[in-house]
Amino acid sequence: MHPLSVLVYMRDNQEKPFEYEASVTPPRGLFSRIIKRLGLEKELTLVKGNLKFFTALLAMFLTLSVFALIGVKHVLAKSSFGPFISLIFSDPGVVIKYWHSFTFAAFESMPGITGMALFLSVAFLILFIRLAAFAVERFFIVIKSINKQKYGHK
Amino acid sequence: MAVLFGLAILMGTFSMGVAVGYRKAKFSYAWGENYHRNFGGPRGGFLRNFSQDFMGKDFIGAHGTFGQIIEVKDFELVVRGKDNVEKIIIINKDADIRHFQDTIQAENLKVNELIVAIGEPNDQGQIEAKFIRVMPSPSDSPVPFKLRK
Repeated sequence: MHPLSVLVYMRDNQEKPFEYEASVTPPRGLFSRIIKRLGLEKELTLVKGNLKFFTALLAMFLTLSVFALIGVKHVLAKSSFGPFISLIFSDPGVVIKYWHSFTFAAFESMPGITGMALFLSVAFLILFIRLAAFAVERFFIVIKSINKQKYGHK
Repeated sequence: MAVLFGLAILMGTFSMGVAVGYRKAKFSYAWGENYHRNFGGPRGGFLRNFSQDFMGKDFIGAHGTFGQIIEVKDFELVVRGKDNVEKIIIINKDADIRHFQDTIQAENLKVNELIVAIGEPNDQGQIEAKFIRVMPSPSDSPVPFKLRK
C-alpha cells in the first residue's frame, strides 16, 4: 500500500479509533456482577466446607449415640431402675404415698453417667443434624443464585 | 433468664446427687460393716478402684431393691438383686405387700419370687420395707428378663 493512500485513509477515518474505544466499554453493572459472583463463589466454598465438617460430626455423633444406647441398655439390664419405674404404672398410689422412698430408690438405681452420655450424644446429634440441614439449604440457595446470575433467569 | 434457669437446674441436680450419694454411701458403709453379722462371712473388695468409685458401682441403693428372694425368715427377706448384692428386707407390720391386684401377707412370700421393695434404710444396713410388689415370674412375663448369675 502506498503511504499516501494510508494517509488518506487515516484522514478519512480519524474518528474511528474513538468509536472502537467506545465499543469495548464494559456493560453497565459488570463490575458489581463480578464482585457479587466472587462473593457467591467464596460463600459456596465456605458452605461446602461447613457441610463436610457438620456431616463428619453428624456421623461421629450418630456412632456415639448408637454406642451410648447400647451402653444404656446394658446398664439398665443390670440395674433396678426399670422395675422401680414400672411401679409408677402398676402402683401410682403407692408411689405418691411413699414418694420419698420411691424417689431415692429410683435415683439411686438410675444409670447416671451412661444416661448423661446418651443424652449428650443425642443432643449433639440433633444439633449437627440441624446445622447440616442449614448448610444443605444454604448450599442450594448459593447454587441457585449462581445459576440465576449465570443464565439471568430461574 | 435462660442462664438463671440453667443455674437453678444445675444446682438442683448437684444437690440431688449429693443427697443420693450420701445416702448410698451411708447405707453401703452400714451394709459392709454388718455383712459379717448379716450373712456370716466377710465380703472382700470394697472400694476396688477409682472408676468403680466414680461410677458409683460400689455404693448400694439404700431405699429399695429389685431381685429374687433367696431366704425367708419371720419378718425378714434376703433378696439377691440384679447387681448380685444380697440385701435384708425387714417387713414391718404396716408394710403393704401386693401380688397382682391382691394384698398379701408376709407369710405368703416364697423363695425364688421376684420382688420390688421400697423403704427406708436402717443403721444395720437393712431396708425397712414400706411397699413390696411381687413381680410376675419370667415365665409369666411377656418380656423375658433374668438375673445375673
